[in-house]
Amino acid sequence: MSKWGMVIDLDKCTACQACVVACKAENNIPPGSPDETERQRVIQWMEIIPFTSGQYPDVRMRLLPRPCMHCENPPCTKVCPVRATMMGPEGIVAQVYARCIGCRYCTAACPYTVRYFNWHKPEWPAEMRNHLNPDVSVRPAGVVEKCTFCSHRLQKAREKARAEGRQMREGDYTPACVQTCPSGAMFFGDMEDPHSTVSELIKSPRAFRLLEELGTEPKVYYLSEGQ
Amino acid sequence: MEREDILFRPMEKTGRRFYISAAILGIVVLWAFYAYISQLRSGLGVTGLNRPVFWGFYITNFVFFIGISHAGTLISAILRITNAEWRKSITRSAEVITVLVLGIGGMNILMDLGRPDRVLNIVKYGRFHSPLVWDLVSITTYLTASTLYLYLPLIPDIALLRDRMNGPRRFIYNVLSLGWRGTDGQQRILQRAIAIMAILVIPIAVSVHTVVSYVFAMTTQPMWHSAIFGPYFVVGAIFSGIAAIIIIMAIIRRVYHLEEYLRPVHFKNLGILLFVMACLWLYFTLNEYLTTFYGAEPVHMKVFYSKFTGRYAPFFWLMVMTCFVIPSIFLVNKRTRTISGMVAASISITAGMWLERFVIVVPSLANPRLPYERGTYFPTWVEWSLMAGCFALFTLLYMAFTKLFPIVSIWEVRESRERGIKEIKERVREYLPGMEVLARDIMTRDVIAVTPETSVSEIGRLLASHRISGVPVVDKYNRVLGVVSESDVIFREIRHELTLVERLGNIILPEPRSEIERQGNTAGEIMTSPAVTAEELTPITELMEIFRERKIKRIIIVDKEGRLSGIVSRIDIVEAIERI
Amino acid sequence: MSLSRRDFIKVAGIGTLAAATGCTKLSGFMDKRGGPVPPEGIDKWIPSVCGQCPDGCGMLVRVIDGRVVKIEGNPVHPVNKGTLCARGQAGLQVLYDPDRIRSPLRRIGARGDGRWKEISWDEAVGEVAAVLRGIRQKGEVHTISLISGVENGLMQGLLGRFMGSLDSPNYILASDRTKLAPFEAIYLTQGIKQRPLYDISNCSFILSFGAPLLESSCQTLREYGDFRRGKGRNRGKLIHIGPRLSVTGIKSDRWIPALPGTEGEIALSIASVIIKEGLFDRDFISRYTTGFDRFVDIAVRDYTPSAVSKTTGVSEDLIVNIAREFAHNRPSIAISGSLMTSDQIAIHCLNALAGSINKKGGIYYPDYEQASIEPISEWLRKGSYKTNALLIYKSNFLFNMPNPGDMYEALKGIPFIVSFSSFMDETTGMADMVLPDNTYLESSEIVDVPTANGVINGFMQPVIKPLYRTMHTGDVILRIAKEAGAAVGSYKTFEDVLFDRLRQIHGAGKGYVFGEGALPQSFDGFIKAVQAGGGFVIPLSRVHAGVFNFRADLLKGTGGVSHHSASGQSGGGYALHLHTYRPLSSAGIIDFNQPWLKESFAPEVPEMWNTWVEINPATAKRQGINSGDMVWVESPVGRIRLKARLYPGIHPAVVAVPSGLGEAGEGRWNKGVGINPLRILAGETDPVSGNTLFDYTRVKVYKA
Repeated sequence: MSKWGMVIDLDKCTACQACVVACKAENNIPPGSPDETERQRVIQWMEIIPFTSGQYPDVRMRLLPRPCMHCENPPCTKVCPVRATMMGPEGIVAQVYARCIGCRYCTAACPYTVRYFNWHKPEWPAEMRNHLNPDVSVRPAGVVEKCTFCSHRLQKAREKARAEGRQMREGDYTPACVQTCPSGAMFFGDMEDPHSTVSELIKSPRAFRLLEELGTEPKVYYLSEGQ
Repeated sequence: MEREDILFRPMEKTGRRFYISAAILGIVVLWAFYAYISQLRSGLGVTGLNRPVFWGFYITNFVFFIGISHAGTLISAILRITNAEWRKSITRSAEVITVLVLGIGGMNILMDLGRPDRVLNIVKYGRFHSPLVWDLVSITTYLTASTLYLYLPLIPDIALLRDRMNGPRRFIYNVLSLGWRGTDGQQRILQRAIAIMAILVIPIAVSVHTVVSYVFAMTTQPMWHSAIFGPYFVVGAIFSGIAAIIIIMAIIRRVYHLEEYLRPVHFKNLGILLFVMACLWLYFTLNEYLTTFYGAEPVHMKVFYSKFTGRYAPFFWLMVMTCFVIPSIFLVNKRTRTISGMVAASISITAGMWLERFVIVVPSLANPRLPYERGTYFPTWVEWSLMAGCFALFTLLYMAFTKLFPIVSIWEVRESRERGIKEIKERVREYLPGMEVLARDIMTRDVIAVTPETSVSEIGRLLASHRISGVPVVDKYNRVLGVVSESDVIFREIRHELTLVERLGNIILPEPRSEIERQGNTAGEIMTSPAVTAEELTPITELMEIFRERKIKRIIIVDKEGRLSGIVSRIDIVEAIERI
Repeated sequence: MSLSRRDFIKVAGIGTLAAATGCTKLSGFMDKRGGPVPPEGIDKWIPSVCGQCPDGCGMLVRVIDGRVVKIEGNPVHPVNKGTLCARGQAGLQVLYDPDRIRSPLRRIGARGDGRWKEISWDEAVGEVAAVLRGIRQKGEVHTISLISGVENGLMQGLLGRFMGSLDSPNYILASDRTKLAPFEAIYLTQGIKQRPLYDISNCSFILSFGAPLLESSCQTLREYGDFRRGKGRNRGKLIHIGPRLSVTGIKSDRWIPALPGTEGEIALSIASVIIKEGLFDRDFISRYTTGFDRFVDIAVRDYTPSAVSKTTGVSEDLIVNIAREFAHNRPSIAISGSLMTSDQIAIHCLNALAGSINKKGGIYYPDYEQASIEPISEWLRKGSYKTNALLIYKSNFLFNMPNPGDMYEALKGIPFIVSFSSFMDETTGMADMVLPDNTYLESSEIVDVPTANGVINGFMQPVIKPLYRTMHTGDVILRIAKEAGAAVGSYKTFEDVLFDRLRQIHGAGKGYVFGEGALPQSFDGFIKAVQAGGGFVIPLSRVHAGVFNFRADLLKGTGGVSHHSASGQSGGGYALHLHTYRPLSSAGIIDFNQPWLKESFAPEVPEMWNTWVEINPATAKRQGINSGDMVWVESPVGRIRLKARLYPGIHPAVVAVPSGLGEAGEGRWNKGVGINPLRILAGETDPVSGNTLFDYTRVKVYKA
């Protein structure tokens, strides 16, 4: 069984936010508005978060692209009262929109704050409904949603491999953010496969994970900047 | 009984003031309902909630109301089990709070759901790992138990109402009274049932707020993930609950003229309990914040400082003021420990405990671990309306209850009165130090005692001159060795075949000591040993028991070391009972 | 499925277009009952070229039943190799912008009132042609001007030929593009007018003087990954010197704060160390440069590290260290943005010292002729020049120029203004007629981008039919030209222009189609291959750098320009420098009515839908300003009210305001969103080049 994971090389990342927008385009995230943004309700499954340390002139900043960490030990799934979120067999933490009761316990429990709530029915101007991706369902109001590692692409890749009568290969399944990354800073693959790119990369001494001390075992790794 | 009419009056007569207040409250409830409909239609977006402040007023209210619910049933159960007599006129009014407020707390969860239409999924797909499911189980159990616990003692009162009322209400009371006739058998069953419920309800109540705290404590979020949250929440719940009882008691006392039933002593007793809880609350709060401060983990400190000096500092410090400082001023000072002072303290506490919930729920969410923009939260009109609606609905339902059922347990009060003060006094004496008359209180202290070497004749002389019927025999340390009674002396004379004259002569003209010894005529030889003794602190009820069993005339009272300290005779007991 | 009224595209569209994956079916893992699922249909991936900025990235557009659903990078496109930046990803919101202009419009209210009447294309073209014909008949062709925002592609050439056939010399360029390169310095030192190519992928050390390395071009983004962690090379090092900790600064290994206008001095002090320590490329200096001795005199004499350290606050040690690193870690590049010319030259001289010109990992100049277009600043300066008709193509210059008041006045005096814009922006708002263009996803074009590996020609083809009554401006221009009696060649439609070019390429027989080895033999085969692959590459020989002239005469202190008094406005209490920067999200974008991009405006400052002013915490404290306060930023030209953000990454004597927001157009996500800071720029011009300077306005900031 595969365990899907992501590696983001911060040394290559340019914080260009291509991943952020690609995610919205792929996953039917409605356009924001100043009003709802003011109320802190923007939905971005992928987001760049700025870490600042130090004082002028020795200030250091770090810009981190942050998808869902798809923890191996997710704090969100165990608090869900209705099994609307769970980790799939391949390590992807999924959300069942049809079952979610919108209690937002998982959003409150996630230490990475990567879960988003549909405060309203997602809305598009009529023209923009045209670009909705048929592979991804549009969420109803009142449910929680989150990064899925573009698991619909996994489904497709698997179907395709099956149709071609072969095993899945590295690169068959790539989330939208990884695919679009201009500087090639993002990698995706099977962490169980010792020869996969991601498995090789996480051996690097630069590798770290966010809030590792919480024991959530994220499957998103970062490679730090510098030597 | 005429004096009970006042308790029936709310059910029999309803004035304009009631209808006006009910109408106003009804409007508020309807307004809240409108607010909820608009929330249903356009989603939770109409609230001020956001990311990361996913929870706000609704969850605060949920915790707050569930907290209040600890007042009634839990406290009533504890008082009932411990047979606190003063509870009788207040338990009903407290238990009603529990039942109503539990429902309203549950409603707040429903309001908070993004998809209330799917609430049954909790049953369908329930995952027992989730503390929310524990909550559901615990709260519904508590609601059931406390409803039952409210209903059981209500049955005799309903029967009373049934017998007084006419018309359709009579029918309802008839059904609800379950055929209560007040027979001995029914009484026994009811008492047994109430006793069982009272015991059962305590662990359930404790579990409820513990589990509510787990909703927060089971996450890893800063300042939620705390091991003392369980007891902290329970203490806070009882604290706010007592405050709520005091406020409501004061209101119904005023409105329904129940001054005779809800007396200053009730308030005073609850006030003392309230102060104890205030201290406990402070203790837990101190524990919680001090450990956080000393641990000084940066993510925790972010939340800590947002409470101490940051955006939430006004709420936090207001909470400290209203939960502890203000009530303490009222409760510690004897002059302000009046009903109005107590009510003021209680209002302060109720507000403070609401703030405490708010200060627990929001700042932790507003300061996420990762460096996002800090969250801000301003509730909207919808949230304010629904909160107002909750309070209005509670008041309205409470008012309705007082119109349907007596808010003071008539039969229990009546029972107390009829069974009489005496029985109560006796019961009180059973367990209350200082209430019971002790041997110490009635014994004769200046006791004439003899040593084992004292001659029989000497004893005879003593008995005769002091008109007493016996003397204790003590050693040189004043320890009681035995007792010599009239009969001991008399039987000894018979043994020695002495005439009464001789005997008296012996008494009057004592023989030399050596002679008596030689003859075996000393106290040591004739005394009954060991003597029947009792300690100074023995209650007279026990002394009476001893007299009855041993068929003796006096009991020698000793101190802890067995040294003679007094004597109680039968007449002393009689005199003591006379005095009571 | 018919993609276009043009037959060839229709045929090719069905025949060869990319990997159709069949019906998209999905079930199982994600529960779909959650909400409405968008309609399904037949999937097609059609290659085309991104039009959000001039970089010409290749894209694959996912089209389902005539709906454009997703845009990805074209994997066989040599520029972007399957990747795409945020702007490219947001292209869906350009096509489906609900506030697009949907048909030709004629103004009915007063100019700028925003009241329009929809008219037919025949009417529109007829009217414009009539006006132009009238002017021609009066013999006043020089009073016809065309302002275009397009620097490359066939349209650029076509517009030139159109103006040529009208006999008007006034073909003006108003590029909105954030300038990455010091054009003026390159022209003055090397005599080259081409856009330089920085070989960042192979460079070892980059010294950025406030250059928007990661805030302008998609190409740089891609190369940056290789620069840091490319296969078979050591990690490149980047040092950023400038007033603000920009994204480039954040990603750099070290940020050195410097006041605007001191960059040149710092560069010269670095040069002085390199020269003094003899670390420069002697071979290059002796073979390819002139004026070195004079430069040495000035640099070593006037700009010793200790002297510069005193005026700039950059420590002496740091200057020496940077100089050594720059000289040792070759190939190294010194790069600047659009600074004052004297500063640009000082910085560019470092490249000569390191011998980084025409070298792998250095700077290349493509030998690729692009039409020379007069910049808008020149045009404006001809104040007296009367204009009777103005045509505007893909430029919202009123938004993008500093202090546009003069320009508004100029436009008011022009009797006839035509805009070809797809969006109702402020410049189009001043027009009398709007003849809306297709958006790039409905359009065709060949976008030529010169690179070190040849000229990449991306083939833009319409992926769907135009959604509304819009028309390719190429077609419109050809029709207008014909009706005005100034036909451009024998072209009837833009398609003819396109074919002409393709025939020319095929005829020359050089180059290859994306993803293939060579040009196919038959022309039809070539067309099909180009349509399927997304474009072709023409080989390119590099320009010889010629002689590098150190131009010490134009350096500060010699050219009579001293840095701090550049604007001469330090009086009046304007104590702070205003630094404006354009975040990557809006760089090069013509109309920013794109909510996804607005939400991702600047990653380093998590503020959205709002313009802010960044103030150093120390400065703010002195002024009693807290984060979130509303403050006035006032220049001698005007003042704007902004939200203050305390930003530790800014020089205490500088405040920074991002530009890109505050468009006054009709877009629902533009209106009332942010403020355009360029409005209060003093609009100073460079004493050497005459170009507008963006970074030398002085302001004061106070609480509102």
